[in-house]
Amino acid sequence: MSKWFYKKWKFVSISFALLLCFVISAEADIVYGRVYDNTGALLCDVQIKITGKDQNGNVFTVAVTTNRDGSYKVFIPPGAHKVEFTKGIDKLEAWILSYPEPFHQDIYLKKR
Amino acid sequence: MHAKPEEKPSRNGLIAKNLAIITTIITVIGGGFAAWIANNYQSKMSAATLISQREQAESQLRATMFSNLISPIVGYYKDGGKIQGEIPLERERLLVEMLALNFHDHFEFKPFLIHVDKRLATELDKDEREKAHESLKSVARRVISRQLATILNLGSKKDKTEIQTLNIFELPQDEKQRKDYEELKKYFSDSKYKESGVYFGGFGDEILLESPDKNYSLYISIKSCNWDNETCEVYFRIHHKSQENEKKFNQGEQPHFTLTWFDFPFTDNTLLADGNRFAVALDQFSGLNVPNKSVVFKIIWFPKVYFTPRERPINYTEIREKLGIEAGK
Repeated sequence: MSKWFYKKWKFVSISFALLLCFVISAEADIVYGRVYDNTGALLCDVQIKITGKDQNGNVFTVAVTTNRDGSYKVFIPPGAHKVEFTKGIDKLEAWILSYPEPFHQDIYLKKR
Repeated sequence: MHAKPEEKPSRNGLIAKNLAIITTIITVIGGGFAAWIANNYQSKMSAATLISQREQAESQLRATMFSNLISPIVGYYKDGGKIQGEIPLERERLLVEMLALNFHDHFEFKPFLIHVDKRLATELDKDEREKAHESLKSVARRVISRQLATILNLGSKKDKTEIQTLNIFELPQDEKQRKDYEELKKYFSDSKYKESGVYFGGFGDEILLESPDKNYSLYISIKSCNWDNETCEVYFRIHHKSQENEKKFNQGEQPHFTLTWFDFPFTDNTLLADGNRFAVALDQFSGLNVPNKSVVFKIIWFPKVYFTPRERPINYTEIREKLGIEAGK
């Protein structure tokens, strides 16, 4: 078994990744918009963390990197989820909404 | 022998000769110019005729297409030349979808779409019904987004299309979820969201929206939603700023309507006295309890200069006003 896995590990990994993508895309939909910090400035090229629960109650965490213009795009399960970002010593947070159809939401982060 | 001295041309002869040359040049230039004007006029006329013919052909094609699509639904359904009675459900759905997608800006297809949706509910089993309903819903979403895209950049800086988003959440029963809900409500009540036209509330909450020119206050309240049919009961009252201090609106008289996926902004909108016009459309419907059921609405404020294709002004002065042409010009 281990020998077979060793030989086919690439194939197994790709298959597993594809299966995972299929499972997520079946439930999730796209949310897009721009990210602003607590001063109202656009957050460009930074990583924000989204944590929430899917409809089966499983906790998920997604890291999203914003683009140069502060825009983001993410596939997450429908619901209301928490967004977190650390700016220096400040911990900023926000809420993000997701629906079964594509949804536009700008994120305004606030101090915790 | 003496050579005959050369005769000097007379002054009058010289003028006459020059005049003849100038006349010839003018005639040639004039002829060329006239030919250029005629050519230009002809090409303009040809272009106008071509555009007109193309418009006519397009109108004719659309008229034929409309007639072919609608006759089997409203008239007798024929198959192989024989009258067959009621049209099969699948075919009716296809024809209504085609009509809605191609003629949504001119006609109101809500009754047809609701009729088909009702037939889906009674004639199909649950799984098939869901699939067919999703298809109808997808067409409705496409029509709404096409209509919004058409008007998005209409109007001037002062009188532009404005689209507001209204997020309505069901109050959760669970204590933990209720805490999350309160936090969510607090977060979305931030002025930054209101400034960008995003509002948040619960079922039964009266949410205040303003027209882009701030002349009207629209109080909107979503009392309930049917999660199976995906319809919502929308209550509203609207006040001009001059009426704001008048006594509170009587709840019993509050106008309301049932909002479905098939209410399209171009055909289902309310025109106010000063030309302000608004429409309410469904945007998202999530019957999932994560953390609670929610619905998103789009409130569309049209520019005042906008009028629907069904409301073409018949008064010439009104047309000039809409085009921004001042009197006497």
